[in-house]
Amino acid sequence: MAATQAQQSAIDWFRALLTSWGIAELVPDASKLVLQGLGADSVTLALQQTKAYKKRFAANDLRVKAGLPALTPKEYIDTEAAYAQVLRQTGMPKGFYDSRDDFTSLLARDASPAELLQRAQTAARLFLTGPAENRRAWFSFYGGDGPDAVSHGIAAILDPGAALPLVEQRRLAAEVGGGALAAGLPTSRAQAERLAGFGVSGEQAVAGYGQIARDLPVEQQVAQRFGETVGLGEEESATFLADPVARRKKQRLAESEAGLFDRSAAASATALSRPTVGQY
Amino acid sequence: MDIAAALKQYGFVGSLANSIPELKRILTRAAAGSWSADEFSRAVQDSRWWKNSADAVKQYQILKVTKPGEFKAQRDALVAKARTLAAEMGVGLGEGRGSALGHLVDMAQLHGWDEATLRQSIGHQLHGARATFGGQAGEVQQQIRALYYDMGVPYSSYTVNLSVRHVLEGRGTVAGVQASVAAAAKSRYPALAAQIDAGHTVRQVADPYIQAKAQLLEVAPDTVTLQDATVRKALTWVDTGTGHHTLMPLWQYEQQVKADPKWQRTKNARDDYSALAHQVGRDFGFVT
Repeated sequence: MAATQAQQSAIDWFRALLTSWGIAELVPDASKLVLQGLGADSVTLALQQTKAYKKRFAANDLRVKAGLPALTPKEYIDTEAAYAQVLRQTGMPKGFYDSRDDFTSLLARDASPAELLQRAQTAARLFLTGPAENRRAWFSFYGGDGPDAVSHGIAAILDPGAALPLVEQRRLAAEVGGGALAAGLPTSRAQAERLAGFGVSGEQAVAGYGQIARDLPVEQQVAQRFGETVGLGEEESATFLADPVARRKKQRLAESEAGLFDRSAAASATALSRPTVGQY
Repeated sequence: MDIAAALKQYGFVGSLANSIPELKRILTRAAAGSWSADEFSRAVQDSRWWKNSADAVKQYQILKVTKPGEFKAQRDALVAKARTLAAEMGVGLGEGRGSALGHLVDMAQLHGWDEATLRQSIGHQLHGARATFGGQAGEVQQQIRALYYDMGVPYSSYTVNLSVRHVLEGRGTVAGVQASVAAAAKSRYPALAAQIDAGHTVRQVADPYIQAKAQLLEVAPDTVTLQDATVRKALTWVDTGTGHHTLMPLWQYEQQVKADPKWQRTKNARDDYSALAHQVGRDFGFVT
């Protein structure tokens, strides 16, 4: 059907508006509806039923299924723009997790730009700006290998399907594990998550494991002298958790070691100052 | 006794008998038999003419024979009256020999018509299937045309003019025509039956639709008639939900009017499209 002059100017106007709103893909359907002579209310409803609209605002169907309200095109587009800004602001590589499909997943789960900011900051801290040991700990704990390991790690953090508190806990665990690795000590997911769960921070882990790395070999030698053993777990408990049993053990070993030196010294002094023969 | 003597002896009846064949034969026999005046009178009264002719006809013939001056004056008066009535009624009777006027006056004088009968006979002379009448016929013609027009019932000039003739003849009334047009309208627009019964015309009921179309297409309202296809569709709409005849909702009707290519050329269309884009912008949240 050929458009009349009035219809053509309406179509041109629609094209300009829809393009300026960032939804030029709706122009062909809008043009058809104008030619059909539908009224304003009908055009909006009909436009919302088109394939192009459903594809462009794909998260809305998922939101409605999840009991969330559908977003207006403006809300939708504004949220996408906010997501993109957050990703740029946090230094996420261009083209990384900023596709419409990625945003669809975020919008479908009602992730706010503030939440995405928090996730992106976490991901950046762990994978882009933080120590390599932290990344190694993450890969060791939560998987990740090969050239795409970083991408997958970032995606796992940005994925709104993973609860934010869980993501934060894993980040802390990776930082605790990273602290151990940085000190040349072994680490495990269970212990790192346990310490992170007790609120041990990455900085505390670096300092604590540094101390443990210095103390542990000495204390193990001392313990060996007295027929005992000291392990990394006891050191971690004493250092990070102020475990009284572990601390007392460390203290006792230290005192025993000190006592041993005192007795040695006394023996040496007596040997030098008192006669040792014929006194008994 | 010869005929001339008989005519003298029998007076005006004899003169009358001379002008009527049956009576003339009696007159001839009376002259030959030298009938007395009474015998002649009895023979005339026994004639078929006397027995079968109406009093008015007999008086007409008697007057014509016995008082030609009065007869003529009476006829002239009838001619004048017939002319006046015909002019009032808007019926052309013609003039001169062989005209309807002469014939009607003859008949009126012969049968002693009263004015109502004369009017009726003049009305019968209304001819012309497509003619536009003047006078009373014109008024009635206008009224009847208006009835059809206001009720949205198609009509032909023949039908209208026939009804006009019936009204002028006294065989029908405008009210009667109105009733039959109303019945036709109810059959044509079942949804409007109650309103028609209540005295509304179809045109009155259709006025919002007519005005809406006129406004949307930016034309004069009187150019949109009840015969307009869109208006007729609105008045004969069937609600698919109930299956009943009802008036089409105005919003739906307006959509149908806008489907007319003429609407696309109006300022309304341009304004509408502008409002359309604005509304979509508002629905989408881009326009506050």
